[in-house]
Amino acid sequence: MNEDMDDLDRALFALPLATSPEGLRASILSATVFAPSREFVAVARPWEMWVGGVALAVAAWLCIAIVAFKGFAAALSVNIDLAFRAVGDPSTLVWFALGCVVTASVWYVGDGNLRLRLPFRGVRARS
Amino acid sequence: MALGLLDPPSLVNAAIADPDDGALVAAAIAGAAEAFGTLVERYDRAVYHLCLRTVRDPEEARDCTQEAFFKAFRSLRTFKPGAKFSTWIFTIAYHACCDRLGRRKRFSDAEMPDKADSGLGPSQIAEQNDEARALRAAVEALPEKYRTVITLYHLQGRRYEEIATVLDVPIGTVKTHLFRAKELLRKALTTS
Repeated sequence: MNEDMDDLDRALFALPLATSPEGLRASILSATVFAPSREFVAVARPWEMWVGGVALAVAAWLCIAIVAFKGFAAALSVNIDLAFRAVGDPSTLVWFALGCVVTASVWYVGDGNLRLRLPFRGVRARS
Repeated sequence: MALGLLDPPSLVNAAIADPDDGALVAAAIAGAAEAFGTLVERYDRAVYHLCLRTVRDPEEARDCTQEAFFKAFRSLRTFKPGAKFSTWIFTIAYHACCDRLGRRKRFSDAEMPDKADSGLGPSQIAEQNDEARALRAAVEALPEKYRTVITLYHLQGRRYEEIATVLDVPIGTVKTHLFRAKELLRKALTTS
């Protein structure tokens, strides 16, 4: 057998391919064409949505006001200057620190949800 | 070839009507999942065969096969229209096998391409009764570079250019390796 190259060629071409392992095709397909598509999903808590919405609304209002009303930008810059000066005031910083402590306390009590379950829930101030 | 200019439904229809590899690739790029599935069905066994012959470990061959198809799927857009899908997928698979062999080499003294096997010689392994088994064993016992050339010769149907593309060597080298591989096989089989 296989004395010459033609015989060897024929014998080589007659060799069957190796049998692929069970489940190989399925695993290839599940890793390629049937792989779940990766979509970007933004997960936000309701309060984050509210904060974002309010920030966007304020930004939009500021832009419109600056464009629409003459003198608004100048007044705004004066007020911002005043605001920065006020923030720099020691008493403001003390109040700011106090606010942070209160917020952190509420956060801690509310298990990080910024929610405080008050015992007198349902009692409303009368207008 | 202006495959990219055709709209997806016509590509899918073309793939269904004349399911040659190029049309299937174009259809897969256009989003037809079943087109790539057909390509997997056509070539998974051949790719596994090449990987098994190259790395000689069923588990690693399975991993290389999966890796090859995964890479191919992710870079379908880089497939040159007019090229042969079989050559492309075999090239990816062969590179995956070389990576495996390289990694194996770092952890052990296992063989790398271009190095001869240190185990049993072809003549020893070919001592088997069944002729096909003897031939398969003799192929298995060949040094890696010869074994891969013989395997691709079998898979690609004697096309030297495509074997050279897969292995990234000149056609002359393919012919030389093939000649030497056959010589080794012939000797192994005549002594058995």
